[in-house]
Amino acid sequence: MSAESTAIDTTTHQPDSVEELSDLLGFLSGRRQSARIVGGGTRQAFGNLGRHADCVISLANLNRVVQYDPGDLVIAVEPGCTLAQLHGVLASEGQMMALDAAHPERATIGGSYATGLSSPRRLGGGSLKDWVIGLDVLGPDGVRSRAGGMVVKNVTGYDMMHVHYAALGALGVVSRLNLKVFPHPGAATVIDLRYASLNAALTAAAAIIASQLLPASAIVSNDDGWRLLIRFDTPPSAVERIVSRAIAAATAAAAPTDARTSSVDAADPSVAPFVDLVDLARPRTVARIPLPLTWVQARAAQLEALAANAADMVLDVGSGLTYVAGDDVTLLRQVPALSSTITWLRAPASGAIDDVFGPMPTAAQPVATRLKETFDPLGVLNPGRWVLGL
Amino acid sequence: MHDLRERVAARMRAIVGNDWVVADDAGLLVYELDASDEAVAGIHKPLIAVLPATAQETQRVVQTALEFDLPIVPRGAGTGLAGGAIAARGGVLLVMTRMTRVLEVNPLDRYAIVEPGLINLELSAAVAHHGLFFAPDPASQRASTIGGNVANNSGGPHCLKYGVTSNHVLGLEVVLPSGELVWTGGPSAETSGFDLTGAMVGSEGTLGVVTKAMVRLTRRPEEVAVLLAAFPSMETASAAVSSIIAGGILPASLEMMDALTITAVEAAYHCGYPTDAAAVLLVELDGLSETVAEHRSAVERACAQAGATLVRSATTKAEQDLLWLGRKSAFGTLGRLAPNYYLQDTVVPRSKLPTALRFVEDLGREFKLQIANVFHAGDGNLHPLMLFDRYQGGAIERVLEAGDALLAHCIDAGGSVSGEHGIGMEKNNALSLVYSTNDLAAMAGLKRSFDPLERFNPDKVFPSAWSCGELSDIRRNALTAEVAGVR
Repeated sequence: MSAESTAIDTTTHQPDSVEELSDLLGFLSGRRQSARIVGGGTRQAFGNLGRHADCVISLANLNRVVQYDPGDLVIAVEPGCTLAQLHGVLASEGQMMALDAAHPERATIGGSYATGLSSPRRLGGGSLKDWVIGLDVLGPDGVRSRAGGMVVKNVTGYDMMHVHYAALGALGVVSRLNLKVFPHPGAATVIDLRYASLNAALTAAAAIIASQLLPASAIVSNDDGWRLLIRFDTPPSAVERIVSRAIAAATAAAAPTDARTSSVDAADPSVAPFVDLVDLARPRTVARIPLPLTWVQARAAQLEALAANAADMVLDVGSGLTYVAGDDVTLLRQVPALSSTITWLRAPASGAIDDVFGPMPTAAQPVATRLKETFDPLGVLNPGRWVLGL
Repeated sequence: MHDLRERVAARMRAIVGNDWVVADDAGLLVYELDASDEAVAGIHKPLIAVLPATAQETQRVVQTALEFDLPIVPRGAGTGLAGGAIAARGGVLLVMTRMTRVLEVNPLDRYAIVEPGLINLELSAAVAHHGLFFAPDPASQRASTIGGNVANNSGGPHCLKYGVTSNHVLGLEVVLPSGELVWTGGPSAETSGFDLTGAMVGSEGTLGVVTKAMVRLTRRPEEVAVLLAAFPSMETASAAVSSIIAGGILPASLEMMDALTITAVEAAYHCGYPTDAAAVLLVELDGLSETVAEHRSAVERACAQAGATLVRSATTKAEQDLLWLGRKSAFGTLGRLAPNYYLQDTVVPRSKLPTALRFVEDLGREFKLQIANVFHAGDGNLHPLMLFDRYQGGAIERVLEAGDALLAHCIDAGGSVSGEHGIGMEKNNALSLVYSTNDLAAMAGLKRSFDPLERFNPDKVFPSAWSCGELSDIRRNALTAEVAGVR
């Protein structure tokens, strides 16, 4: 935005309807005002630093369930619908969505989509990007475009749902998400195994992942030694057999120092270390490193050394992602050695990272640049926060 | 034309070798069509067909085509039903069927890196000894390629539970319309920032050509059950489908066949389908043995309550395979009933299936057509096959008119114009029925961001009344005019 633009104010606008949001965007755009788009505000730390935005638009009041057809296993929601709200609505019909985040009472589905951050339960339940079957998105001038629909299988036109996924609102403001949902299996159980070494925990995790026991999530965290947490979503009749077989398989691979089992009710211990570590509202640096299980096994010594330097670590071995949180100096020194494609979910405060999304292949850069120029030529939406500082 | 062809052919032969360039009219005959009906996609001869063996050769072929300002049309096995692999404006047909290698399999992390010409079923066969499979299983899986599946975001019976191709593609190596080669995505389940992989899948070869795919593999379940249920009407079978899904059961697949299909399939394969039934459901359940046992009972109950006259489980793997053979071979068996068929692919919300099937039945009466139905009921993905004789005057016109009426009905019912076969040249004009000009302008913006000169697979996907440039400019001009007005 031009420095000579006349700011109308620098406060937060909180439209109560999509129409109001559309009018607001049109109004701002006509006056060359840029906007930072906010959902529940729990992941504002993610993204490039960006340029000054003239105002903030909060989508918190766009939180309606627009359409829910439980018999068709689909739901359409506004972006400000919180995860707690969504889980509650689905649970009332015996359905679910395997998505976890810190502060579910504030974190929104729109924010989860825009940041592209799913959770370890994607091992059994898939990722948010797999469930979005349609969307409405408002351009920087408030004009709506749609893609997809309310059917679970649809190849009509381009998959714009993937284009806006993880785009941090830089290409448009999502005003409706159509999602497919899943029946709840009946029972959720967690096994919690303790190990003295990372290698042992990884060996046990590998035994379960390679089995036919269908784990819903599998994470390893450093918590007074190493802790392997595996969740199973099964019918109640299967709990006993699956848990005993899983513990037996893990023990045969690497005997734990302690083994516990618990059922998941309100709280979900299976992802608690992940939710806690990837709480981006906390002011500490968080990095995500793409490391499939076999790659983690090859780097176990490096990871143990990093953990010994007081870094918190969660290895989502079911999804091939390792999360590390800690002090800037340790992370900046040790994390880049683990992979060339780090995503800094909350970048070091020192500003040492140029692009929190990591390096983009040179050939892809003009495509991303043209996308931004096409969808938001004046840089109205979340200026500078997306890849390449777009 | 021939001079140009010879000049291009000479350059291409230098890249891929003499044997892998087709530049004579006779040789190009087989590349004029794909599996679409010529009445909807037409017959289009490419200037030349080139079969590269590596990603580097593919890149050089693309760069050479760009030098000559020629359109580039990627093609796999040519099994697409919407004309996506036809050279609508001539140019270079990039045939990927020589690139068939499985380059890497990582069984613990459940991914494989393969070349685009690998046949779908051969991928599953290559990883079977690890207890893994590739979940998308289009009916063409014995012939169609992974590259084609990626381009079309292919589905198949097992997508009900496991999702479509886009859910199983982790990363891609692509030659972009700039002629550059790029890797996008990776073995981890999530990347952040710009999801180039997600944009590529389902883009029907209009945004670039895939030279390698990193695909997700799925663990074979410990138990599989296949049930066959017979019904006195399509309506009762549809009611059973709704009841199963609404009852909290997500089968691995839930397929329906009508009486016409049953007759044709039984005559060809003797699969054991009851020939006196008006409809059958083929239900596959998989997962933990307890899950399968409970769901089997629930499915049996749901079918009985909906009025099933017979529900039986395949007791052996051979019997399961036989039931599936009938379903997967159904289209071909309809050749016994008529010389030609037109396979329509539409989708409605699952709960609207009974109404949509009644509409199909009415269409048959109104347009005097025999229509067979064999489709993915659990997904609401209809596949009516309209039987006709091409040499009977007015037959194809009636078929296409009936097809258009069905598309309109499905859109009104909250559905869409293609569930899994793609848009290509068959349904590009129908896109205007589903999407507004602004919706299409956004998609055109995506196309132009990848391919500003519109070299890749032109005349596909977008309605013929518009060029991508015109569509894209609608939004661009609007977005920049806002400010011009203030200035």
